[in-house]
Amino acid sequence: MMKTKHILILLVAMMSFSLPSYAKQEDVLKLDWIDLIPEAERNQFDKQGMPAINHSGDVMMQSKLGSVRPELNGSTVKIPGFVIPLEGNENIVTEFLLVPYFGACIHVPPPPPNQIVHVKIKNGVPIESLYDAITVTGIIKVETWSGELAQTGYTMQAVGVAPFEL
Amino acid sequence: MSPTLSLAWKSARNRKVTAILSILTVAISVILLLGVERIRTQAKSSFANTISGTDLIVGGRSGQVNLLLYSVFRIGNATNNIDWKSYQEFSQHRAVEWAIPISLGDSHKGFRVMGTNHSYFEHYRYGQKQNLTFSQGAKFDGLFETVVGADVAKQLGYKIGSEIIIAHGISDVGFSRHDNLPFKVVGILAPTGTPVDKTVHVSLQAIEAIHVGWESGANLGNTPEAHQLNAMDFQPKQITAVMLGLKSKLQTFALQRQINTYTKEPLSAILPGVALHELWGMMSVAEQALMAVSGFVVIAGLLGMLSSLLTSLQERRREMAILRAMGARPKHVFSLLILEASSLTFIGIIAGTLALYLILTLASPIIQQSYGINLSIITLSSYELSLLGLVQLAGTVIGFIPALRAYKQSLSDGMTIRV
Amino acid sequence: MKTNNQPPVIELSQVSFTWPGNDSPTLAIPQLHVNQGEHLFVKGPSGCGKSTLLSLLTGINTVTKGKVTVLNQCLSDLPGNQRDKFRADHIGYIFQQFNLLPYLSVIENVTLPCQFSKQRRSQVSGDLQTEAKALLNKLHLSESLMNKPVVELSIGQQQRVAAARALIGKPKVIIADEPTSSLDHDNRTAFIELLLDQVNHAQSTLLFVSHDPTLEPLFDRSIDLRSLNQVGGEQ
Repeated sequence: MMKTKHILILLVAMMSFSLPSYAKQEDVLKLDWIDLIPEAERNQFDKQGMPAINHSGDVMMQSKLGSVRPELNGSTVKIPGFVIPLEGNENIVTEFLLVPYFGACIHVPPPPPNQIVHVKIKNGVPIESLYDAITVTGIIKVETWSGELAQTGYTMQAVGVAPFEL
Repeated sequence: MSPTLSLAWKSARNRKVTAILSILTVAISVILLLGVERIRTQAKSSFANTISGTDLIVGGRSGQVNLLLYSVFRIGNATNNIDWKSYQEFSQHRAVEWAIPISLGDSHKGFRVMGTNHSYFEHYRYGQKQNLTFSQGAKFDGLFETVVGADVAKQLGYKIGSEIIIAHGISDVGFSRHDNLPFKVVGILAPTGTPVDKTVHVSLQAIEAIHVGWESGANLGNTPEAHQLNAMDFQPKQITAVMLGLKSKLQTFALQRQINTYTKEPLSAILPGVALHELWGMMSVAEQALMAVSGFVVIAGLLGMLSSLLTSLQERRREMAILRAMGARPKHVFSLLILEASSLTFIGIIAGTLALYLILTLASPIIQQSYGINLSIITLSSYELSLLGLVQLAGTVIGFIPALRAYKQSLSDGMTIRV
Repeated sequence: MKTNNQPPVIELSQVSFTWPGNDSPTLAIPQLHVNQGEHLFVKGPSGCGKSTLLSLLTGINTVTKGKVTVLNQCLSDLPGNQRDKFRADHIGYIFQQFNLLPYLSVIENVTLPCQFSKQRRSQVSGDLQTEAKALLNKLHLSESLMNKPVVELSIGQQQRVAAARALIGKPKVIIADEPTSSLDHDNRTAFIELLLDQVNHAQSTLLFVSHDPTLEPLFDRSIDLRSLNQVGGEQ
C-alpha cells in the first residue's frame, strides 16, 4: 500500500541517485596546470617539461607572456593545487588564489598569471593546512582587467573543494 | 525516589566542608577548561576580522608574522623602517591601484598613534570588505588634527574639538610627551571591532613635525611652537609599513617577489591571508597544549571528588544501616551516592561558569590593552556546552564507584555494622 | 496481652542459618512463636546468635533451612526488594545507639519511616508533624527539645526519639535491639515502661533483646536464646 507520502519519498530518492550521473554526463574537465597555457606558449619549457632557467643572476621576472586559452571560458573544470587565502574568517576561506606549487621557491620565477586561478567560493570552505593540496571544482572564466597593461587571467566560481588524492 | 533527593541534600549539607571542597575543585577545572576555549576562539576571531581587501603589506625586512602583528594589530614593534623613496616607487608601480602608508611608534595614554594619509580612510577595509566610516566629524586636514577610533573616544571621553597630547614612544610619561603641541580631534570613527578602534590617527607630516627637536631621541628643549611648525613643510622621510591594493590579484606574486628582492633597501612583502594562517599554525600548538592541560585538570578535580566521596563512605556506614532499617533498598543507597556525585559536579560546573564570566568581565579590558585580543562576554557556544556536558557525565560516572561500594556494603552490613 | 485464636505474629519453624563462607550454622531454632500483643524479652549475651536472629526476622537475610513467617508472610518467599518493603511497612526498629540521622531534625527523624512506607503513612490520620509531636510528648520529650539539633540531645532523649520513630504509623511488630544498654540504670526502667505503654497503645507486638537480666521482670514472657539456639556460643 503506497501512500502519497511514500511515492514522494521514492521519487526524491530516485532523483538524488540520478543527479550525480547527470553531472557526470556534463563534461567536468580534469585540468592539469599546463592545460591553462596556450599551445604556442608551451615552448617556453624544454623537452623535460622544465622551465628554462636563467641563472645569470638577475632577478627572475615573471614571464611577460602568460596569455590565456579563451576556449576554457565557462567550462566546468576540476583542477588540483595549493591555496593562497585572501578573504575569509577564522573558520573558513571565501576567496583564494590557486597555485601549482607550495611555497615561494626562489629558484624559479613566481607563477605567471596563466598559472594562477583567482577562486571565489560562496559560503566559504574550511582550510586546515596550506601545506595540503586540494582539488577545486567549478566554472572557470577568462576575465580581463583594464589598466596600463591590459591583464587577462583565470577566475573561478567554485562549487566544491576536496582534499587532493592521487 | 523523592526521599532520596532530600536525604542526599541534607546529608551533603552535613558534610559541608568536604562538599564545598569538591565543588571548588570542579569549579576551578571548569574555569580553566572554558577559559582556554574562550581565549582560543576569541583570539582567532579578533585576528581574523581585522583586515580585508589588502593584497600586500610591505615593511622593513622581517618575519611575516611579525610584520602582520605590528602593522595590522599594533602588537610589537617594527625592527626597521621603510625609506620614503621606496614607498614612492612601489606606490606608483603600474600594478598597484592604491597604497596606504603608515607610521607607528608614538602613543597617547596607552593607545597607539598612527601616521597615515587620506588613502587610509578611503581604501582600508576590515571584516568582510567593510569600509571605515565616521560616527562624527571627518578626516584630518590641518597639521595638528587627529581622527580617533571609537574606543579611544569612549574611554577617554573625547568629542569633536577635544585637545590631546601625544607621547614619543609607547609609554606615556611626562618627560617624553610633546607637551606644547596639542592635537585637535576632528573625527571619530565608527566602531569596527578591530585595533582601529584603539588608534589615534594623524597625518604623516604631523609625525615629522612633532619630532622636530627630538632628533637625538630625547627632548632637548628646542621644540618650536605650533604656529612655527605650521608654516614649515614636512615631507616624511621614513614610514613603518605600506598596505597595497593591486589592480589584478594575479600580479600579487610577481610584485611580492620584486619587493622582496629590491636591491635598494631590505624589504618584506607579505600576503595578509598567508601570514594569518601562519599565525593560526603557531597558535594551534599552544592551543592544543593548553587544552590537554585543562583536560588533565578536570580529571584531577573529579578524582579529588571521588576520593572524598570514598572516604566519606566509611563514616556513613551507620547512616546506611539506619536507612536500611527504615526500609531503604540497596538501590536507594546506590542512587543516593550517584545523586550526590552528580549534584556536586553540577553545582561545581555552574559555579565555575559564573566565576569565569566574572573573571572575563574584570580582565577583559586589561587583556584588550595589552594584547589586543577582544574577549567579548557572549553566551556559551554549543561546543562549550558540550564540553560542560562531558564534565557532568564524567562526574556522574565517577559517582558509580562509591555508589557500587555503598550498595555492596549495605547488602552485607544489613543493619549491623562490622567495623 | 495474649489474644488466642489468632495466628502468631512471628513464627519460626526448623530454622537453620549459616553465614556464607562458614562451615557450620550460627543459628538453629526448631520452634519459636510470638503472639499478637506479646512483650517478649529475648535474653542472651553477645555471641549467642542475637544479631543473626534479628537479621532473619527483619528480612535482611533469609534462612538456609526452615521457615520464618511474619504476619502470615513467609519471608523466604519474597525477593530482596519486597522484603525491604515488608520491613518498612510492618516493622519498627530501635538500635542500641546512634539511632538518628544527624543531618535531619528531630521531627524529620521520627517521620522517616513514613517516607519509605506508604502503608505506615496511611496509618497516620492527619498531619505527620502533629502525630510525631504527639508521640514524642507521650514519651516525655518536651517541646523545646523537639526543636534542638539531634546531636544536642542526651542518649536517653535520643533513644526516646528512636522509639517514637519505631512507633509512628503503628507497625505491627516492634523490634528493640538492646535499646537501654547505653542508658544509665535509673533511666532504663523509665524508658521501658514508656515503650511498653506505647506499644500497647499501638496494639503492636514487641520483641526486646537484651543481655541485662534485671529487666526481665518488666516483660510478660521471656526466652533464653542460649537454650533456644541449638548451636551455642558461635558466631
